[in-house]
Amino acid sequence: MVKRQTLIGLGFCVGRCAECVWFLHLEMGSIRFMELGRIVFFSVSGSDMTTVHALKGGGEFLRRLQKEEEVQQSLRRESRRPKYSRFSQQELGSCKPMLTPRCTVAMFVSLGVMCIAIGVYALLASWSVVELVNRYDIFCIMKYATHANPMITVDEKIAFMQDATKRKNCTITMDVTKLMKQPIYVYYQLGNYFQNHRRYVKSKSERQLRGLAASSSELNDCKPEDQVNGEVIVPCGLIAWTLFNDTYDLSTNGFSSDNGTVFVNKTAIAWKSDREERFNNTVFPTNFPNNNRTTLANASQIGGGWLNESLPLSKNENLMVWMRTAALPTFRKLYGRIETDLQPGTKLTINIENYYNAYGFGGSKKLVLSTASWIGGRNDFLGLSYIVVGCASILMGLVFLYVHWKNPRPLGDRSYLSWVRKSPATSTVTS
Amino acid sequence: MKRFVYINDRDRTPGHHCCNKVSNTKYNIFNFIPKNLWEQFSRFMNKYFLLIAILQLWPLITPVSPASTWGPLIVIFAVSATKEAWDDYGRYCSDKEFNEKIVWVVKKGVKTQIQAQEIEVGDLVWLYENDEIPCDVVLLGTSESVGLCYIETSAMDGETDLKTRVTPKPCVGLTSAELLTHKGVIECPEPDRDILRFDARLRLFPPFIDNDFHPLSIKNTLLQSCYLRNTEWACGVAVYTGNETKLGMSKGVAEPKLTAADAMLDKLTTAIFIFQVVVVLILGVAGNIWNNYEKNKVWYLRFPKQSEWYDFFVIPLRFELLCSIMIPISVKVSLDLAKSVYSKYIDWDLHMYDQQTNTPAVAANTAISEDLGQIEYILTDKTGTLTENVMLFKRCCIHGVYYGNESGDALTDQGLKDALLEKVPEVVKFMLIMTVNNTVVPHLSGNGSLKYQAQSQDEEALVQAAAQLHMVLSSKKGTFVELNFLGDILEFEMLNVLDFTSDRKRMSVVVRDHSTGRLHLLTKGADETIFRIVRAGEPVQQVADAIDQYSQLGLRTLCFAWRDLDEQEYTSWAITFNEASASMTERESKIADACQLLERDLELLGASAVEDKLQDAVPDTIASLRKAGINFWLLTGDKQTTAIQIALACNFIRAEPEGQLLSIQGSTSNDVAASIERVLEILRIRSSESKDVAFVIDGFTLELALKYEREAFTELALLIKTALCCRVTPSQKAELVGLVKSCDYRTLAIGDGGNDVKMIQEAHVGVGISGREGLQAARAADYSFGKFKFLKRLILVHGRYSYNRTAFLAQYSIYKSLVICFVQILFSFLSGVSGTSLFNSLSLMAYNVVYTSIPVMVTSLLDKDLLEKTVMEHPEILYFAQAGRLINPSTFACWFIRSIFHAIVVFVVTVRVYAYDKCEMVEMSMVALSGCIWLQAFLVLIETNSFTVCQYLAVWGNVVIFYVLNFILSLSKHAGMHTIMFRVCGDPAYWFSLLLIVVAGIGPLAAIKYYRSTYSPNAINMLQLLERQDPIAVSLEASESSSSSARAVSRTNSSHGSVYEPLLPESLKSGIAVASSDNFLSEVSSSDFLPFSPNSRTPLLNHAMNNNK
Repeated sequence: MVKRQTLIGLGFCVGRCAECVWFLHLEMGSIRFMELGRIVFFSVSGSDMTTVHALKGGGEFLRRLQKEEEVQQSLRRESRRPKYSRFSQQELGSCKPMLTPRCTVAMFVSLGVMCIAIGVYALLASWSVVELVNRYDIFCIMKYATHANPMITVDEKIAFMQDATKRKNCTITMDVTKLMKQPIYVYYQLGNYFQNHRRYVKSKSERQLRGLAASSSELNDCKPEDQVNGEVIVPCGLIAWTLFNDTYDLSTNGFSSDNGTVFVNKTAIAWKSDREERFNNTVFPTNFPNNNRTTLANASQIGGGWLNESLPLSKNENLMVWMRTAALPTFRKLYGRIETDLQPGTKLTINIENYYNAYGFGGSKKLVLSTASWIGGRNDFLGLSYIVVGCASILMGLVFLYVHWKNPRPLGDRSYLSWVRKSPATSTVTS
Repeated sequence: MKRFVYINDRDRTPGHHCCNKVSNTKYNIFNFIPKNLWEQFSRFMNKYFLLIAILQLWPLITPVSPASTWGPLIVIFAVSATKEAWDDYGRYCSDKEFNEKIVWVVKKGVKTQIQAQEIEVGDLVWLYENDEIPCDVVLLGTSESVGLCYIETSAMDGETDLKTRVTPKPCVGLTSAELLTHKGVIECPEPDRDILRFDARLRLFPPFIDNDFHPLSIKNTLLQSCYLRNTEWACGVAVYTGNETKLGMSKGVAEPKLTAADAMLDKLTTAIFIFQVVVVLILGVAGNIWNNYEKNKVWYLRFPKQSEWYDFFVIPLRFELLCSIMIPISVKVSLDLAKSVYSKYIDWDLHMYDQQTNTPAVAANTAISEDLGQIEYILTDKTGTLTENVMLFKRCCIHGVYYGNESGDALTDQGLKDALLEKVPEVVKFMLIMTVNNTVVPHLSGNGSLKYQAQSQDEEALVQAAAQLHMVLSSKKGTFVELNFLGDILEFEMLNVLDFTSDRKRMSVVVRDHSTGRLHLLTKGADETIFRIVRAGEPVQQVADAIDQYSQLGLRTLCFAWRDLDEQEYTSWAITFNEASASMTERESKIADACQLLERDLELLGASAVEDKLQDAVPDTIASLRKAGINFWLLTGDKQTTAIQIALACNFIRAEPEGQLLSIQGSTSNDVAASIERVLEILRIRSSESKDVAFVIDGFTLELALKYEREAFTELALLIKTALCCRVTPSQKAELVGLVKSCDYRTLAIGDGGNDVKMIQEAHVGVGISGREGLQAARAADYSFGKFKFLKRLILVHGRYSYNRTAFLAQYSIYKSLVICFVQILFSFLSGVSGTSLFNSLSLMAYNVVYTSIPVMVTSLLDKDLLEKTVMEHPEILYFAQAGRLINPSTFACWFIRSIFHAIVVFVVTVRVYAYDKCEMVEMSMVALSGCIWLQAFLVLIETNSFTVCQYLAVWGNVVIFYVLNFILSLSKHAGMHTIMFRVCGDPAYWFSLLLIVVAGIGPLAAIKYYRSTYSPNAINMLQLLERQDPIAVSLEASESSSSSARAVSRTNSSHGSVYEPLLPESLKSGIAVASSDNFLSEVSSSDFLPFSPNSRTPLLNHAMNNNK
């Protein structure tokens, strides 16, 4: 059967066909191909170079050539196969920790034991702190209550505090019952005093304290204590203006040699960085409103303490302490340190100048003498909460242990899979 | 509206058409900033952030420095604006290149070169080989004497084969000199986007004598951005230019798709926003009350005596700013980032690379990968999607003689060969139809080989088969067809082509045999349409028999018919046909009517059967995905029986007793309603049984159902898991997708051809198979790959992981912001409800951007709750993603409660440990911040399922970064944090507080997690345990399941021949029998053509079945 057909890839198949050997014969202006074994005969005759007479198996041959060409083409095309990497195939090696009953119980129990241990340690530290607290604000003012001025109402108290002519000192005593080892920290504690109020917190100028020109935005923050008579107040702002100014004079009843006076060291009470960096030694208080009370005589309430204008800010440690604003409405601030031990039985007499007005807003003022441990002052919270958390953890571990003992659950049981359970064949669940 | 284009006559063409300047850019230099900003601010989140940022400029209310919001905001805006600008610049450059390309145009009879953008409507454009076509052009002349040219349309539809375009009749034979000067007018519609349609007409002015309107169709046009190939030159008149071309009109910015998880996140964000407003109002009122009470007492705050009018609003606004971090600015950014990596994983996946066609998977849409995990309905095309779309001619039945039944391949059937050698007239006619009646173009390639270029794989298969049976289609030049039949040259002239449309479902050609000079009508088409138009007394039954037999084997069938025409009839018909083709309105239906006049009384020759093999692993893929709870709808243009067979072969539906196939048929709306009602009834009865019920519906019934019985059909659609829709049109496919979508299901449409594009675009997720039907579907799709089987991995692995990870990332992002926000709120109760920020601006900014984003980002890129293998073996686990179990209001509530709990832990521990003498504000804020950071680190650890080295590095590296950064800040004198970190870290109480925070914050979570995973485990927990405990069990089960699926396959194979009958169970037979007697055949019976009784169908089937046995 002779079939007239167009030859595909004449030169191409000569070169490319790898599986079989082709012989090329040139014979009288015609080309013949022979395949070993089975003869496939082609000839290109005469002038019509595009038509070829295939003698046998033409259809199959055609298909094979096409296929061959396709393969070659796809090889020639660039492979678009993505590159392998463990990341791109999401095959990074991983481990999957699993909360098995055994390790969970062990974890909770051991965690609990650890917490209790820490708790006890912290609680012991807290208990080792000796702390004397005395609230003096009410006592100090009631001392001056007279029949004419019983000072029951807040207004009467305020009026008394604002009267510059009246003396406001008072004396309290504190009994040392346990040995207090030095250093003993003297704090004043204010209650219900919002140093963290938004108006208050930002009312200062860091740049001014550092000795740089205060930016206008910072001066704006200082309002209404930014300037007086058009001149900038240094240090400006509410924080500085409300500087705490009660003073304490401590003495003992005869145990000490120095006339009974207990020396309170008021240096190095502020942060080192504050003394050296934040409060500059070239900045001196100027135009400080509290230094000139008369200018504010008409103000409804007076501010806090005054500042020595001849001392640079870097020497005003009580200002530094005060200007480290507290985050909580009840806070202690360091007044000074007693650098001698106080023996049990010592009776401390404290002479207080009760200048600071905490009566208007229902605040409280306390004097605190405290030693320190590694967790700071007396604070049972850390220890107690560790013990509570530890106990809860152990309890949890035991509950899990009990539940596991009572109701051991075969882990990874296929029959628990909802879709497996649905089929009746495997519905018998082993308990 | 019509447009009149005067050829080569600028003076007469009205000047209001746009010039040929193409512009795809979104912006220009002047409007870039405002327009881009406007676009960015059209998103709610961005508006919110802008509002917050503006509010922060008011120093009275801002709690922190405005930089904490402005910084990130500007960065985010700048990044997306830069991206936009870069993209737009790229578009500008390519536009410019296109616009400034030099083209030849005829001006006043002289060929001149101008830039492409200067072309105007009516200009005569002169194109040379391999030129890109600059605008939509009506072809007027070519170098070929018969007036045709070849174009490549790959830029438009992705099809790489060459298409022929022909000059309109009156222009055939014009010399190039004549072309330069001739004038005429083209009447065409206003620009539209339909690239398959151009209903216009042409009249040439004198001196051309043929002074009539001539029809123009899309065959006469060269569309913009196609290439002229294999033709020396061509010229044409510009009809649409610039952005008004068909391509320009069909360009459009795709609507960004919103995934279910995105929508849920938006809902949650809104909920948080409302919560935030409530919190702000409460705190604002509380703050005002505090102020009123304390104002005059707290002298140290020196409240001004006179209050301003806005004072009342100041505190709520302050809290608004303080709480603004509840909605984190970083969530969108990190989600976008993570999602783009998820889509990269798809691009990179070697398991989804198809070696055979050298196609890797491509994720064109980078934003919707998690939606893949939530798919509930898959609507799939059949041909080319489930099947290979490699058509092979396998069998035929000519005049009642079956060929290829014994050997399974008609090409090797000696009987057929002998019949051809003997030139049996019917067989030769049959072969002629196979060879001539098509749009295949034989093409001699450079190396002399003959190739067939066809738009339809079926046609190519037929022509190839004919060639192998020695009837070779050797050349086609214009209307002249040359065949080589057993060495003899046969020549035909194709006078008319009666095109295939989805309505007509048949194609005919009128040819003149040059050897005899006689006219013939050659028709091929779907059986039902052919049976209607054959002449009475033809052996319809016989052919129907054969077709049933073939379609039960899953073969695609075509009927062939023939008619000899007499000259007179043809001439009169040709006038009608030409009128119809030149009509400007309703051209398609007019043509169809005209065709009907000729296509009648045909001689039925027989039927051919073409095999289209199922793709690799299709049944397995479908079985797995069905196990995963995904419902499948098969939407095919193929006939019902073939569709059913394919559906059975690939596990779509199952034979009795496991499955049941119901059919909905009817020719009137009442019939359809009754049929739907019946099916619904059956469904309700059957709902208790665990049976796979499916229904089958054809396009005609579907149209009625969607038109008149939409509600009932929707109800049915909701009840049923599997549906077969046969003979559906592309727009019906899209409509069905819309129907399922409207019921609030997540849909995925998968297809491979241009007819699937609409459906792919309509669905939530569109997947394209880059197959043999060009890249049209793949380009329109969100995802594309080479084989259907990859769908399993795409959904189960990529979709599921993406969903899990997105859910975690999104919720965690909000959680971490809530934690820090709640700490602030708690603190405000201790600061006189004044809106003081515990944390400074720098820490707040860094918290969201640096400290908490790295570990969660790395985890959400790498975490795998289950191994890929486990997921593939237990597809049921997809349920979690599908039902949205991992991000929904209740999971979010858990995260919300967790954030409150953690905030309380951090706050209480900090405030109580750092009480009294330690409560310095900067210090305390650092302790609280460290507490949050440590909690986050452990929380990420506890939420991680699988740890890689990267995650450890990220989590602990992040903590290290936190300390390093803060130590650096502590060194700086001006940051307000001077020496803080050194002081804090030197204090043992700090470390003990952190430990306490971590133990108290994470302990309960671990306990709950342990309890839930052990005593009320969900399926994920179970599989995790299985995976860990017993790797053997998992694999054992796997082999079990695979063997069972293999069994299933073998069963369906063995019962191949007899499946149709059992699908209709005994008890329901009567009901269905009525339904099936209402099929299209009965619809046909109302017309006069039906040669046999409608009820003959059922015994016919039995007969075919017996035959097969």
